[in-house]
Amino acid sequence: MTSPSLKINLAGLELESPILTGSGTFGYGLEYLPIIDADDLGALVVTGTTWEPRPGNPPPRIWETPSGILNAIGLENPGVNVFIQKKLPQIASYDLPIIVNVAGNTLDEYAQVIRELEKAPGIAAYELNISCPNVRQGGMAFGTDGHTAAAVTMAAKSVATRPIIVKLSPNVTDIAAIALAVEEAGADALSLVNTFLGMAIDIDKRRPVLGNQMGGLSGPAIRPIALRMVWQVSQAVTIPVIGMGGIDSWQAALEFIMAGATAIAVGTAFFINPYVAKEIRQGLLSYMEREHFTSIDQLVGIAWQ
Amino acid sequence: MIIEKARVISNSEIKLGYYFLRLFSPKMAEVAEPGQFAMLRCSYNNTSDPLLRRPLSFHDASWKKGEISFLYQVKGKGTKELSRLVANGSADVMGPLGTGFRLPKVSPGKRQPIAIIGCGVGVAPLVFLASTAHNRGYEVRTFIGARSESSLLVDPILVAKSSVLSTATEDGSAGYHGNIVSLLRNKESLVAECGPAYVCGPEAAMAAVVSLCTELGIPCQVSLESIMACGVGACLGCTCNTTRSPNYTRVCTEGPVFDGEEVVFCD
Ligand SMILES: Cc1cc2nc3c(=O)[nH]c(=O)nc-3n(C[C@H](O)[C@H](O)[C@H](O)COP(=O)(O)OP(=O)(O)OC[C@H]3O[C@@H](n4cnc5c(N)ncnc54)[C@H](O)[C@@H]3O)c2cc1C
Ligand SMILES: Cc1cc2nc3c(=O)[nH]c(=O)nc-3n(C[C@H](O)[C@H](O)[C@H](O)COP(=O)(O)O)c2cc1C
Ligand code: FES
Repeated sequence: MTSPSLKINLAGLELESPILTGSGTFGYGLEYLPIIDADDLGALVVTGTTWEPRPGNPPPRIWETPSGILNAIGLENPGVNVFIQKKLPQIASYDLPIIVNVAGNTLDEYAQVIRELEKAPGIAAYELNISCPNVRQGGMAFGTDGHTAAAVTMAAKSVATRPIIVKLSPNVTDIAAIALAVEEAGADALSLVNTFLGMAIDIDKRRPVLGNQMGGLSGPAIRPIALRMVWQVSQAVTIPVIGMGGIDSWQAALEFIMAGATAIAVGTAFFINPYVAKEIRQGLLSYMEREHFTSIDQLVGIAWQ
Repeated sequence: MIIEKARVISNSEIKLGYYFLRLFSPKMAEVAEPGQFAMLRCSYNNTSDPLLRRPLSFHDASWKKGEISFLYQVKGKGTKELSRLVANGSADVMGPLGTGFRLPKVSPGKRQPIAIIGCGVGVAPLVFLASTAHNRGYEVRTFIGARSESSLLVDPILVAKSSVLSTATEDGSAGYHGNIVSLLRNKESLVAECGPAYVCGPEAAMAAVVSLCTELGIPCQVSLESIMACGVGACLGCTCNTTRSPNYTRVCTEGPVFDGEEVVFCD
């Protein structure tokens, strides 16, 4: 028997593996790619990119919670021009599709960043971050209202020739409604979830722990809620969904795929285990062989029936 | 960078709340440099709590014995778990990471004195530095401070490699009675000849020692701490303020060792 196939088609992109990187957790790939096997990944989703350079939030920016972490990085990045000139050529040598996560304070900023990225070669798609909980303006505000979420999507679509993936915020009451609004506005795919807004208090100092007071919760702690959201959204829309939130093993990855995700992304788990993508890929392949699946597509949404 | 499950040679409590962990890791022992650190996984059997690896500086590394060691204080969940490691068990370790201490260039034949200044468990990374410097022909003068005798870590390697070794405790329970800065003032003539001074300890102590070094006109290097998620430069979680760049600087990659004068201390 030929070995099962992990190839997927994501909004027109032919990817060798359904395993992607969660934006902001893999930098520009330059730290991890030299030590891992790039073939385990389907695409690289790089850190959130804005028009101007952003310094990010004051430290501390990370706090561990039970089976999770709170982060308040605040979109630190060198800005789109430095990204194109300095980072992009370095990542290109790894021969992986590159998805650029785009963030902004205004509708115009999203469009402006994409217009700039359109001029650069070697980008496969854009992921709109309308869900970052760590910046005051924009960020999550765009993702918590169907109208603004649709408006950002349209602004991006009007200037982009490459596929637009919209990354949804889980900090909403009805995520399927936002997903539908974004699909209607022309999104080519969705990714979910971004981090959950949370906080921790230092009882000795009697102050919030994080420099930014609140932060985004990620890691295994959020997995069941993220999974439920992927389940709801992927059944509500017809465009493909990239599922993420606490995936740290092939079993967790398979849960998201069975809940309806065409692809999955690994974030926080890279920090603990840089080899996690290989473990997931091998685990998926053995499962498929054992259970007689020939293509990963056959497992997408299998739990709905 | 190496990620491996290394065999535990020993993990013993050397003083109440302080442990000494030795691992068999020939590959890491060969490449580790003083001031670099490793990230150790503290949860076993794939449990996710505590989730993140914990950073610990190399206390020593011997390529001859294929051994690396760590000296750590039990602080919370992660280090408590680490303290449960037993001989012949395994520890999941990732390293060596970061940019370590730099030794000065010296003219041949000159025995350049350097100062090792550690407070509490801050002596850990300085031990490796002291033995490396000693072996390369530097003269090592060591000054160790702590709150009291119970947290004063006078490492045997430091004793063996130092030409001068002074200790101080804030409560006077051992050594000179006073904090690290008053100890250094007391020994000012010995310190002032050194270059550079290498400093590690609580942030307030490091800040005070850095200003003293500036006053004495000797360069110094400090090893900073920060909460870390990835330890390799990917997450931007560990940043600190330096004069090196208008942006934040990553402690795990550009550091943990910085020049004293470039660090912007909080208070
Ligand atoms: C580069 C580097 C090298 C280090 N080397 C050593 C060493 O050689 N020996 C040693 O004993 N310690 C060292 N530390 C500090 C050590 O990493 C922390 O004490 C440890 O992570 C605490 O984990 P925990 O789970 O026991 O405590 P937690 O329950 O996580 O926290 C207990 C307390 O420690 C503080 N803390 C948590 N994480 C860190 C952190 N990464 N850095 C500083 N404080 C923290 C918290 O604010 C809290 O007050 C180093 C830290 C860094 C960044
Ligand atoms: C340190 C850190 C930085 C992140 N930065 C971004 C970012 O720049 N843009 C974005 O869309 N999501 C960002 N995220 C969210 C992740 O991409 C992912 O959606 C989330 O962490 C959930 O997945 P996980 O539990 O596997 O980490 C970040 C997460 C972390 C932990
Ligand atoms: S700990 Fe992740 S960048 Fe330093």
